[in-house]
Amino acid sequence: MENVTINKIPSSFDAFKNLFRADLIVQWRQRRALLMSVILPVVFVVSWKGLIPTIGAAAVLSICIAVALPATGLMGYSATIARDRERGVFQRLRTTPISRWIIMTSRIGVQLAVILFTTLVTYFCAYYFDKISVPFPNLLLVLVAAVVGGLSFVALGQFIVAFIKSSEGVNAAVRLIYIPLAIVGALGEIGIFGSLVKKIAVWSPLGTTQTLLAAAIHPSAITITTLWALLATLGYGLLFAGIGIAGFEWSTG
Amino acid sequence: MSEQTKDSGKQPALQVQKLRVQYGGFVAVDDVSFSIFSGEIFGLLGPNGAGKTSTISACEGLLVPAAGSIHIMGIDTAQQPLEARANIGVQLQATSFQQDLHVGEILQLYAGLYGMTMASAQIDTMLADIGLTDQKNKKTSQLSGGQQQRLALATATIHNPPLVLLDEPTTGLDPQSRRHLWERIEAMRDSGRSILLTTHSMEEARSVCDRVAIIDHGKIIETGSPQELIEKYRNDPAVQAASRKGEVTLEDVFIGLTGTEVRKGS
Repeated sequence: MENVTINKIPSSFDAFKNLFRADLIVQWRQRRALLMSVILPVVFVVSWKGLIPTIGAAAVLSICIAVALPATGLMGYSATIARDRERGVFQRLRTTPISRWIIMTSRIGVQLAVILFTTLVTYFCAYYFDKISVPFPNLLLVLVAAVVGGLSFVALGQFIVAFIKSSEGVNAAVRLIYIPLAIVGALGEIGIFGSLVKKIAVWSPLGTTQTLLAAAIHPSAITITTLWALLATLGYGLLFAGIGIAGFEWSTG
Repeated sequence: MSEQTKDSGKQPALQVQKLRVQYGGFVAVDDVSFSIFSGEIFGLLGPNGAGKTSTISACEGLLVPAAGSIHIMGIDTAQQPLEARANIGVQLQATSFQQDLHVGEILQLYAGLYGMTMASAQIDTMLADIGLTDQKNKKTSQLSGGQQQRLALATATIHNPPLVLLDEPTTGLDPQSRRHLWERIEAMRDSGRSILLTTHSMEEARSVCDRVAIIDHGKIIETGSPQELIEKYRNDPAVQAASRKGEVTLEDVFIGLTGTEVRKGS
């Protein structure tokens, strides 16, 4: 008989690296869904060219990027988490010597990559179709703002999967939330639905994200409202993430 | 009922003591104790809802027991959960891999999660060993049931763990695949590993297990080798009543001890 040896725990970095690589591969193989989440902001970019003289290039670009972010956090993140939970993928991963936080950090890291991808695609479409140009340092600020806002929607996605167990239920819930969120957030901000809806839209998660993005495009226009928008975005993220993490169950069984 | 120790004085690969698993007010596992030693296949045999999966899930670290202790190679799973999990290989009841990953990528992922780096040639060797060379670039969702189980068993042993936990590993397999899997399990045993498997198949328990524990309603009723249990209960009236064609089998012992009522979920 061979001697069996006692194994040690692998390094967290190596474990994360392997898991992140696998999660990125999965995301790449679901690129059709990724492209679908990019189509909406691109449609907004192309169709809102005529609004630039009225509301300004920064507003158009920031709204278009902001509309893309809930698709990533709500539909992308929560749908894959719910699906993999239902299939028992997390159960299998939890039997390995890696911490739970590594599993979730890898998933969030993938969403981060998707946020950056959709933001850049939206910007380059705005540059190409609408001739909207942003200086490189400002573009970096835009990416930071997109990450901050995008992660607040990932947190909202986490909130949803904490309370809805089935993947079908999660898909239904995110569609119910995303469509009014995107429409009210995008169109409400320009006042189409009246002043009350506009106020609600401005301080909604999508609205505060749009405020951050607009400020990143034109940092000279930063006001106290920008700071409040940042605090609100962070607040939304912490609230949804806190409840979503505390209430999350790793299996449906 | 106290368990007979196989090798007194030798550290068991798995030691479960007074384990209690509860789901709210429902007690799924009640005061269960058993030990598994190196080079042994130990079966948890019980009807649906007996507590087999809850017991093995607690050993896998998927459940926090309400009471009791679990030691894997002497490591307390409550105090050092990651160290304990580094020394177990797990095959869950349902195959649970990312469906968009290819077979080769699954092996590479799980090798990495256990701290191993596998070169492409090593992956190919492993695939050849489990007969999945042609499926290397196929998604796991495209594999047959038997192929998925072979892949699951490969990921469970990729890091040479001293203890392997298999939850109903041959459920849904055809006879050839089942026999093939039994041979692999026996080969693991012969290489010095310890295996805990749950099953409700008497044939599997009789053919593969060195010892079995019959569990019902969350309690271990009896422990011993299949042949020992048959000999012990050969003349038991309940077992005799359950026997067919006069010969007492492990199934008769099982039914004699657990009753003839059909269980919910069967």
